[in-house]
Amino acid sequence: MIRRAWLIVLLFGIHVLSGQQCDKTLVGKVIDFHDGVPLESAIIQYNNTIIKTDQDGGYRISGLCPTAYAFTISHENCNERVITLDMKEVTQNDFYLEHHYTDLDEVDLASSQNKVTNSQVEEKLSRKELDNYSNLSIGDALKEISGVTTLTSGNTIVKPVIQGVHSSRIIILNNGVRQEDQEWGEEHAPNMDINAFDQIKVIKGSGALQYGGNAIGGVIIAENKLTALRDTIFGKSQLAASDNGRGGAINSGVSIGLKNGWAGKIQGTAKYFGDSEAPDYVLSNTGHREQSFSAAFGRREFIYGVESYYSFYNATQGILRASHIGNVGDLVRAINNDFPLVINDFGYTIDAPRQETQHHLAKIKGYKRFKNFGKLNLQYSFQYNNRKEFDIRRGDDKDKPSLDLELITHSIESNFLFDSSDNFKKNVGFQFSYQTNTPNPDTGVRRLIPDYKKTGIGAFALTEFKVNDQLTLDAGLRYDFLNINAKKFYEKDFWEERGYDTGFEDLIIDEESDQWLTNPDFDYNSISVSGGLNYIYGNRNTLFFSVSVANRAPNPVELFSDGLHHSAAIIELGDLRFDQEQALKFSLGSEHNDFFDLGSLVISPYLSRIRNFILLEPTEVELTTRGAFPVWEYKQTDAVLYGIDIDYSIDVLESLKFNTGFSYVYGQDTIANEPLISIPAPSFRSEILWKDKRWIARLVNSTVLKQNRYPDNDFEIDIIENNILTTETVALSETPMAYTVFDVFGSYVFDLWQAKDLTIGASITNIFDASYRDYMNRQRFYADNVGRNITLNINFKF
Amino acid sequence: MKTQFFKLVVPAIFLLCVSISCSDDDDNPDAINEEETITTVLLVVTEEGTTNVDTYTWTESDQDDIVLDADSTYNFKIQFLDQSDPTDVEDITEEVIEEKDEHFVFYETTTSGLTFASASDDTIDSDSVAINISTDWETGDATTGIIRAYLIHEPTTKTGSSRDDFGGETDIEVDFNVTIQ
Repeated sequence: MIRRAWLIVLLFGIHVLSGQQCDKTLVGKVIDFHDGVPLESAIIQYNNTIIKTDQDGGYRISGLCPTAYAFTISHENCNERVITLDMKEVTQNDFYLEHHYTDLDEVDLASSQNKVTNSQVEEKLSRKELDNYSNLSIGDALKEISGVTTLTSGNTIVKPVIQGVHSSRIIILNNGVRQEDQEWGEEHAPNMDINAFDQIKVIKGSGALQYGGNAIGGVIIAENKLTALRDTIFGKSQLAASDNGRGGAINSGVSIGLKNGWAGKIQGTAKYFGDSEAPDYVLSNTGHREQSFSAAFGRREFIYGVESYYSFYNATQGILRASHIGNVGDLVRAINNDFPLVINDFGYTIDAPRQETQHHLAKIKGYKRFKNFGKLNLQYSFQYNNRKEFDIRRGDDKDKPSLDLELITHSIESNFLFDSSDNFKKNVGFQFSYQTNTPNPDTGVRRLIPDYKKTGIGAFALTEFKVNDQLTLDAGLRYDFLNINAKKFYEKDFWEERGYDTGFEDLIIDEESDQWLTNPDFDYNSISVSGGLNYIYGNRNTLFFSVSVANRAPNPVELFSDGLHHSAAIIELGDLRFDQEQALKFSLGSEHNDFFDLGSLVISPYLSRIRNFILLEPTEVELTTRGAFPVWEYKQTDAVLYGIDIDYSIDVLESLKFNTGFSYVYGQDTIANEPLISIPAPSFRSEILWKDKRWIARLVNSTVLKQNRYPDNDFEIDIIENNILTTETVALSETPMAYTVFDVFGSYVFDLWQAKDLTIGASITNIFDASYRDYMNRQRFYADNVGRNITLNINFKF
Repeated sequence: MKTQFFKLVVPAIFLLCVSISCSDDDDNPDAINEEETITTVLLVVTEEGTTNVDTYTWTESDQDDIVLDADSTYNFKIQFLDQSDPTDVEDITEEVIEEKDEHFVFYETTTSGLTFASASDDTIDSDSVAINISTDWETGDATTGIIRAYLIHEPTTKTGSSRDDFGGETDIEVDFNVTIQ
């Protein structure tokens, strides 16, 4: 706002008054662009004069000189516009204003009343909050939101979990483009840099059908907007250094707004960390490196706009050396040992096992508004993702990855928003995407994910109907078609063992010694629907309610897995017979911004019933030359998930605030009648925030209880102990103990060259260096979580 | 303004079509025959002072039972083969010997009186530790049991008396039934 005001002052300075006769008159109206309704009490400012429009939106300005004037037009809830008119030529002019602030995509970070959907429960993190995590990942930051937890593999591979579900059940939008980076894998974190975004929103529900019909868990929207300001250049640099991992991150970004309305933004980040440390030992081979870059250029005018965006992400992530096991015996040894089986001195080297990922995203987008009608959006995007996973291998293959996938996605989408009537909005659109996955055969390891082509077509229609000032209803319908056309080798023995020889014999297209080459070509059709309401009542209370049906087609891992997952030492089996998952979800949000003068309270319970829920469970033990291996089979069952997220905050003093959040999820396999695996434990997150003009101090406590609901997947193996063959139970089901961790953050803002341009901050996470393990960390069998970490943060704006 | 908009969008659509048609080839992927997998473990057993050689084989589909005489001494040489491609059998033992510092062979047995020690022709790593590729075995009274053979990759130590002592990853873990008669 300060910047904008400054800009107006600058624009006023442009016109030069000369000693002409000032007798010109300008008349016209201020009109709403959408519905053509004249705006009463709109304000027109020029020089030091302020004029208000009458009840017909009309105005009349006299005594103008024959020169150029910059008029600033504003109206309540509207975007301010500055229009320059040359009074030598004009006597009559209508000003059009945009009063749908959100639709312009111009997001005011200070406002919380800025939702993407009408009836879904949404939360968001602003740039300021994200700044605290500049050297971490998006998943780490999202943990601030109740109901969002993480599924991790060590401390750098962090996947978000929304209300108990994750991976392909969540859509992540990277600047308006659905992120495609092999998100199905539990050890595949989103290939995105947190610093590339201005804000991240989370929609905790499956009803946002404009993004996809398969977001059973929800949608994460990460956005980076071009500046709407003109003739300006600003930027920032941030440096963070941490003692745990003995590394740091640097990121810098510059935004430019040109006079003619074109704007640009570039941003880059580099991270460099060595091994992390648990309280009692070094977590060997957990270093990580990351480089990323993004650039955007475009023009965002009131009635049209174009934008091009490119981002690149490159990361190398070490995976705890001790978590790479050869067989189940090794797993038993790891579980029985308090310490990881491999502990080396601290180092920066990243050996196998490790992941190397690269992601390129390019998009071009345009929009055009039509008077009294609506807005057309059109977008094309291209993504290239390469994922290499290096296991510990021997001989000539030592430096070869075990997995090397190349995923290319093209997508084109368009929608039309009919917003001429504010009370009855409609949004229709389509998405088309084409994806190829090519595993590199040079790995010498049978392909975990086969070669495939995937074509997706989706079309949706959404509507929002404002019944009265309090009640707004919404409804949505979406149709999706998905085709997966794969080419996959199956070992002949396996093909028969799985019973594919009857029913799938037509898929065989070729033969190569003991393998069949098959061509699975599957179509999935689905219809998703959603409906909801948003009811505002009493003293700043809002009630959200939504019902949605979403469908998710099985992903390639679930369909095609057929063998040893080397680094995890399990045999994973998919199933070609899988059908789509179908989820029915009810969510409620009860928001009380002034809860009996005792702060604000948000309660969001939900219930979802998922038919054909796909999960991985152990079935038997197979004997190989590497000893006994548990076989984990994907299976379809029916599941029920319900839970509640509660947020409460109160301003204790003017500068002292207390926030607390609680999340609980219950997951049950209703056919086997047992708890679902990997459901986050109940958790609390509380913070005391002290904030004045320059100081911010936060004390945060995160408490995670023990998950008492888990399926019994233990199995038995024979071991030889003192020359006697004994049976030992592999106790991998048991969940870790509850834990509590305290973090403290502090920062101070300085005025160096400009007001508040330098922020220096420090944080200590896990202050008391607590040793703990987390159920949602896949490495919990092998090592403790990261210990105390002290980070220094310098943030400079210019 | 419209023209400017379409100037940008039209080439993008064109690019999309080109890239789809280019990548739309119908070539079949190449088959992968996993190498480096050890499909077969051999124990070549020679009775001391004789030339009686017996070879016992362990594969996933077929396991031989070992028969030894009571109160005798035998030399065991372990061999690791990759027979996934029957026309090109690879001897992985050579690789193990080449990378002797990172490997260690160990046996556990439930057969009472049966003991083993590194043989004089065993492979010695650069820390002067014998890695048990070749071992001498002494049998006791007649009995039955199993011999479990391990190939350990990157053990944390090479001294110990049970599998648990060595750490590292298990590359091979196979059981042979053994009869001492």
